[in-house]
Amino acid sequence: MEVLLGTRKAQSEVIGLLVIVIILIFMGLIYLGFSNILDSGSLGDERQSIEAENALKALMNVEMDGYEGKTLEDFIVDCNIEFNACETMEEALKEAYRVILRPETEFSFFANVDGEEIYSFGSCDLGLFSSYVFVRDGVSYEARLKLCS
Amino acid sequence: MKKGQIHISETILVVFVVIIIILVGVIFYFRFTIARNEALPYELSERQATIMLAKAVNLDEIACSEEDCVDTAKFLPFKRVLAEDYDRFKKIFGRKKIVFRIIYPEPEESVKDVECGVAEYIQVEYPENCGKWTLYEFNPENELGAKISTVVSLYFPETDQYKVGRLEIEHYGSIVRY
Repeated sequence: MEVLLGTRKAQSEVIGLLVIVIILIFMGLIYLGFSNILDSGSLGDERQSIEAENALKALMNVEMDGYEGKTLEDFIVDCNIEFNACETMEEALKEAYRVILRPETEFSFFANVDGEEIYSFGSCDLGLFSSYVFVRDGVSYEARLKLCS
Repeated sequence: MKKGQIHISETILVVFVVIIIILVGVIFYFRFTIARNEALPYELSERQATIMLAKAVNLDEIACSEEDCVDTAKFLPFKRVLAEDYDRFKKIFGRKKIVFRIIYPEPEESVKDVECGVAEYIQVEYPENCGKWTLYEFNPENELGAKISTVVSLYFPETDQYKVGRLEIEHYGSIVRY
């Protein structure tokens, strides 16, 4: 009698375990199905990264509209000499990127001279960085653009 | 005997329920997989277009020799070469439309959508008299496309000036090799 009872319990336990395993497999299959259709979004990120890099490089040598033919490189060099030039540069950049970047794209800009920041504006915590370095009269300048995400 | 029969019935019921659960799980999985595969051709087309977006500015046929930019003086010769060897470029580019536009300094509204052809190029006002170059277009089935784009630097050797442009690639349907 006791042996019979023991055998029954064992059978119940084995079947119970089997049901749990099957349910776990079922949930795993559901998960695999969902993970297949989730959009990775990596193509969008890739394009955003290309955009960030190109948006800075493309503007460096362009004569800014309405600023006496000054380029962004000229602005950064002037900004190192005189603070007013930095504010004019900020104004010019905002006007330019309003047209260049997609609507409602926020950005931050940083200008460095010999590794030290001389001016920056914009505020975004997360974003894609791009950097452009140039040398003029033996001084190394760096422009950094961050497209906010 | 009765107890044994009850046991067997229980076991059969449990096995039956388990099989149903597995079948439902497999059906769900394959439905999701099929839905995913239906979106795959479009995703591949978008991926190909994104790769082209990154590579287009470095194409020898249109890139600047030294700077990281696109030489607009090479556009018209490239269009001529493309027209002469259209079948080869169809195999390379597929079903797409490739357009370069001037975006900064902003061109006038009246010329934004004017194609920069030979007629515009020979005029004194060039490049202020036009706003875009359509380098390639192939859409045999007139499908609606999806557009991706990126900023590029456009160089005008005629005036030794740079402008900011946008490279737009419109891709249609799935990737098909011609």
